[in-house]
Amino acid sequence: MKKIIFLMMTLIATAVCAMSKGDKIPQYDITGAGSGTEGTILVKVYVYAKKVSDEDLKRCAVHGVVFHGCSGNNSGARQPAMAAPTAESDNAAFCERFFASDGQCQNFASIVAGSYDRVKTAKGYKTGAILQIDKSSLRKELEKAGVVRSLSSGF
Amino acid sequence: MKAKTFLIILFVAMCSVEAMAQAKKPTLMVVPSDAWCKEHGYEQKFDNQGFTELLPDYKAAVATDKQLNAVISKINLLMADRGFPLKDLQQSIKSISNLAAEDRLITSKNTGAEIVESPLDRLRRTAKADIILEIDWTVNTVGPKSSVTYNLRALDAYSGKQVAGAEGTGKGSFSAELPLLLEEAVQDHMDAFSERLQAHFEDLLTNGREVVLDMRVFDGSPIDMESEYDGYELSEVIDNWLSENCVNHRFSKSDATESMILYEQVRIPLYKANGMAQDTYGFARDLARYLAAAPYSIPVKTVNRGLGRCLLIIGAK
Repeated sequence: MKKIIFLMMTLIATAVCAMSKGDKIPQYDITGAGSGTEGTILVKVYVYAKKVSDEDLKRCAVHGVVFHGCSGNNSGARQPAMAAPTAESDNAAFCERFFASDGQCQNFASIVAGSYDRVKTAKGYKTGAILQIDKSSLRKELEKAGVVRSLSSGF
Repeated sequence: MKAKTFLIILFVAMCSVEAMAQAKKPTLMVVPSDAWCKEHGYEQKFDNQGFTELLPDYKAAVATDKQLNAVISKINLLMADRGFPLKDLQQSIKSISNLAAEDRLITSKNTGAEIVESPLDRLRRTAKADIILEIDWTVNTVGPKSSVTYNLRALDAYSGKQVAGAEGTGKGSFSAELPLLLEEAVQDHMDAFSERLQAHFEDLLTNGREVVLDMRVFDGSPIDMESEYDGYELSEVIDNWLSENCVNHRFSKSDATESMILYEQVRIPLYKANGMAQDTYGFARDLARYLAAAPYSIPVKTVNRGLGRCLLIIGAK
């Protein structure tokens, strides 16, 4: 009986680990790709993984805009990260749900048609695309969740 | 029972913290820089006691320059999206002249008396804000290629410090029109600008509002800054009071004579002891009450100069 319980526990633990690993944001690079229309930003994202889906590209792009920022748009202006450096760890539960493969982050990014790119690297391939991020709506959503501070907070 | 009482007290405390968590919000307004006004010919001559001075003519600028209005409108819009709507320069100028005309026509129904207006009131009737967003841009042309050099600065109207800024030159284009390049510049620089402005607001919320206190003495007053009370000069009495009442005892005495003191970088708490939001005038009134009480018994006139500056005149009301 003890052996069965031990086996079941091991199986559950393995499944949970596999699930969490599968939903982890893959390694990525982000750079600015020009000025978007009002309230949006264009970014170029490269994801380092064997298999890269559109969902991965989208969540990496949104994650990058929120927590890393990017540089190099037409006006030479740096796009700073939306959230504070500690915001991701402070709101870990929300971020895990929000940046999941089927999470809400998917609603704020769209891939620019014909912008897919695949480059061979020393360790394999990196897959990229240009994405348009709806910055205004994303900011409002994250302000509501408390991940990003509003300019008027405290007043 | 005890747990219930504790929970009620906790709830009331949380409510009161929530109620007082609203500091006085600074007002922001976008204005063209002096250099931009000069370059575009929006200047007016002003006779300052025999000396001719050139001042920027904002009224003419906003009334005629469509590009300026488009840039101001874009910045206003982007800041409103961030939950921080700005005062509009054109609207402020219009409402000042409209209200001045209205005030001149208002009379009492019973006595026919007009509204009292001192020369100081008239002088103060200008478009003003606590933080000025000064905008400037230059169009660079190299052959058929055009680019825009853009500069946006946030200046604290009281301390004169630049609290945020964003500047840069765009990559340029052979085909894009100037309004498009300008729009792009405003939009692209706004995030970096807002980030710095937010850092300033966070500093203000953590370390208190940075304000300026001017102290003067009325002509003919028997008291000046060197008058002694229990072996301490009046200026030292004021220093001690400020040290006790400023956040982390932070203030600097920039200049002082027997007839004036200038206190800069005075960090005042955002809230009074009762939880009410506090501005510089409220802080200065506390100092005036302290000096009016025994053993000093000094009458002090307090003149409000905005959210971040106040004038205290010793010796009379």
